[in-house]
Amino acid sequence: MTSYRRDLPVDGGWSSVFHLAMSRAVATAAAIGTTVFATQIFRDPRASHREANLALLAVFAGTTLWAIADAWRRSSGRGGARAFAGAGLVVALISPLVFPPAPPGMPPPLPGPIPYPAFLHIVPIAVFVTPFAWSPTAGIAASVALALVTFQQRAPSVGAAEGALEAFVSMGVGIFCVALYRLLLRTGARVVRDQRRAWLAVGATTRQDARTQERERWDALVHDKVLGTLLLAARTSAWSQESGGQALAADALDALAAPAAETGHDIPELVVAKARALGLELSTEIHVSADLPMATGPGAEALVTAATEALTNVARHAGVRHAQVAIRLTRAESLVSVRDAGVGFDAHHVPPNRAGLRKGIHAVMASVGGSAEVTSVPGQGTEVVLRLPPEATTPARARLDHTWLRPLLPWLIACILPLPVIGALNVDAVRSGWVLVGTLVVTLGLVAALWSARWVTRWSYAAAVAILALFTVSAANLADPHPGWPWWIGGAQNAAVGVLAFRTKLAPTTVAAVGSLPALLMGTWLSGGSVAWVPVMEAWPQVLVWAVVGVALQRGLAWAGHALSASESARARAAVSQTRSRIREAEFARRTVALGGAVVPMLHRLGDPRDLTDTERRECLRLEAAARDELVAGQLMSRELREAVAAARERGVAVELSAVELSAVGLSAVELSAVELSAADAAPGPDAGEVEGAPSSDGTAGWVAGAKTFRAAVSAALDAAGAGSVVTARWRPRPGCRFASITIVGPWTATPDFSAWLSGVDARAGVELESSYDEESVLVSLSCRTTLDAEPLELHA
Amino acid sequence: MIQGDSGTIRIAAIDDHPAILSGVIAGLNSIEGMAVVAISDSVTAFLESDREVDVVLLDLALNDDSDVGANVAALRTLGLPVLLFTQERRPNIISRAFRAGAAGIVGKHEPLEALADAVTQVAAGQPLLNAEWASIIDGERVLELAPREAEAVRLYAAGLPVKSVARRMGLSQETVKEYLMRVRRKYAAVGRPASTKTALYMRAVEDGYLDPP
Repeated sequence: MTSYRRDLPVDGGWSSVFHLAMSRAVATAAAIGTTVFATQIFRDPRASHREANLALLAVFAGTTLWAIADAWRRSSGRGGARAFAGAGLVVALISPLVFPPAPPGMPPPLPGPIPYPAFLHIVPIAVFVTPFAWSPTAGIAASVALALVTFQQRAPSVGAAEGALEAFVSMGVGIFCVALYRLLLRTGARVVRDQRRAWLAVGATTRQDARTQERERWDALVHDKVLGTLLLAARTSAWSQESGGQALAADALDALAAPAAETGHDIPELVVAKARALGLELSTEIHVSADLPMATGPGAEALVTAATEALTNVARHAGVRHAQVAIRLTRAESLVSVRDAGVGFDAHHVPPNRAGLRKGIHAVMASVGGSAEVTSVPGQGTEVVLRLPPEATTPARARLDHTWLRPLLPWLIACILPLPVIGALNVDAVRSGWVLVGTLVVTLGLVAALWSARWVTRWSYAAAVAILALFTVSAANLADPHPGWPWWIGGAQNAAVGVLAFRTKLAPTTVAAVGSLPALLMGTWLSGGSVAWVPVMEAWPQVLVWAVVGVALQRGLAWAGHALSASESARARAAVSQTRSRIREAEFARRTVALGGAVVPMLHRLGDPRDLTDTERRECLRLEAAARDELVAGQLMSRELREAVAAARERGVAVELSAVELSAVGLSAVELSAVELSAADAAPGPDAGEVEGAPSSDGTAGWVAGAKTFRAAVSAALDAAGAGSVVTARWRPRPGCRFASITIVGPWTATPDFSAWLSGVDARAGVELESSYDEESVLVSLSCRTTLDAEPLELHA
Repeated sequence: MIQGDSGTIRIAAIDDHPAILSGVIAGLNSIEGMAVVAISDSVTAFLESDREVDVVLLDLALNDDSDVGANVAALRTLGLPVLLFTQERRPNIISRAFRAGAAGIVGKHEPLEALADAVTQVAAGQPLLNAEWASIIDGERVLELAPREAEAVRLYAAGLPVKSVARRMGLSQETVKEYLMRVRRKYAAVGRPASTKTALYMRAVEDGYLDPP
């Protein structure tokens, strides 16, 4: 399973992967074609032109070896394919000169030289390979050339019209191959593009998750430690006596010093490390599949979190210092179990205030689609088993496997299938003009459909089955053909449809596989065609070659596709995890900087047992207010706003900011990022571009416009507020369409035209500012036309 | 609330950073008629200590991973009035506490007198009016308010003082206060109103049992 990941030059993306797969298919097809050719030369008593055939055999054997070497070396070079296809095409072009065709409509006498030279089995392979060996244009050119030669070199007994039809059919075959080639390339490219998009989406979500987590951690840290310390310092005159406060300051400094350790990727290592940190002795039993990609994402984190909680419970409550941990991570399941032989508990009588089990384990696992099972017997110990569905630890992997290349196979085989059929319907065999016309229409339609199709869809399956049915009917209507033809067609059809049915497990293909041969025979019999039990031997080389080409190409594509998936997903995972830690650090730094550079020195100062001066205490108060702003409205704070607030406080204005957590009002990750980033300082985060490049919706634009207008309006209000006034700015998306309000209570700079100071505020699209004032207060409401729902309240009574 | 024999208001302070409280406790103890009789770092510890108190000062974010709503509810079941004493200003957290029955909120950064007034009022069984609370009511979709009540709440929630609200509405301050108290009582009476199917649905969405539409 893992071998396909090695040594693959997949950096060139889908195109290079496709070429690798093709080079394998070409090598296989060439080998089979050459072997069949050799077998016929040496074993078939009817073979003629022995010397010429031997020379050709040497040529094909050489080019086949070349193609095999290409495939073996896993290079995407096309030398072997070119040599093989070139030889096949050249031979096809000159063969009418060397091997004169048999008179039309005459079955070959038995025994005798075979009229249709054995090596011509190779021609369809060469035609099929040409677009790969050179280019689609070359494929079309080769088909046209082949058609012209076919027409020019037709037997004397064949008329111009019949010759033209025959040429047209052979040209159709070539163009059909080119169309198929294009379709394969396009479908693959689409699959790859979808993969990349999926990874981009995963990346965006991860970034937002990281940001949110870091913000929550930061908020908790600031709330618990920093604000309290500063406030305490501001109110305590005898700081030298306040040893608790000094300890708190040291604590806050420690916490501010380092961003959170990144939740790692190696589940066993993390769990064992946590157990050690808790001082537990462990006996472990760890099984991790070698080919498992590194576990990341919320699933892995949840597993580690819940396992840590279980270990913490052992350390706290079990009364023993020893725990057994079993970790089993495979593609099929992710399982962590923690067992102890401690005191145990009665699971039905856990006090409601004990949140560890419920919130720390069950809820955490449930949030990522996993489950937790807690078994405990008082006196005998406790076992916690945590399970995750496999895709929860490797979210993107499962998505890739489902789309990957499965659709290509049935389509491929269904496309290859008509080639021998079209070959069989040449003018020698066809007596009914209608059948010929029908075949031409089908060929043209098929080529047109292939050419215009952008990628393989469900409709392709339907088309494939319809085409099979059509060919069955038209073949059954052939009058007086070559005696072997039903087997020729039926064999090819059954081989193809059989493989198709086996691989796709689709009911219609199974029915077609089982039913096509009896249907063909029945149709032949009903239409009075000659049914003879000539063994499939007659057509086995064609059947074999086409079946093998199809299977080899499919296997090659699946192999290369897996390799591409693996390499893409590994790269994407690495990028995501890198971005993740980078964002957490950046986010932490951004918030710490936003907190005001003075906080950290002040905390250092507070760790020092010296009494505080009045200036220092005022500074503490100022820093506390600024830190509180970050805590309650950090998502909306920009540098300008921070400066405006600080300046207003200097002037003696009391400023109260608050914001509903934006994530709590239903903003999507993208909208949230947009609003936050619109507040970011001059140097936005490294991923700002990616977020801006993300699909923007009216909602995002609305929120960003709202946030920008809010900031501008608050700044304006702060400018207008006089000393002693209170400015309250609240961001609260509401039912109805108001989303923010700003008030000034107390002295404010009255101007004859009230809107004068608001005119500086650039009301962004879709945002409306309404204001009212009296002698001692101002109220500004911000609303937007579309947000939330339409339930506007009357502004003023 | 029935106060202690001496008429002193007995106060419990629950905060995971007792150091921060020390100044406040000293301040409250120095006020005539108030005594901080219990200090603990979690609601569980306080409940276990089994002290009789008249008012509980509760920090919103305790270090023991407990939930704000559950903490308030646990204290309310004992009939204790809960005064939130916190630096927290995030509306959705405050909202949870109010829904669970908190009587009011006072910021840790507010002056001692504001805290003392709030303690007195809450101990007397009065709900506390302030803009934080109003701001939460203003966000309630389920509570049925008369238009004038809603307007009073909205203006008050935006941060305007009662005086200013009264002037803007052309009413007396007393009337505005009456409006606000009426809303407060309505809110307290329903706590978590869910009398209609729509209300029930809204509750389910709020509590995260259902995805919002």
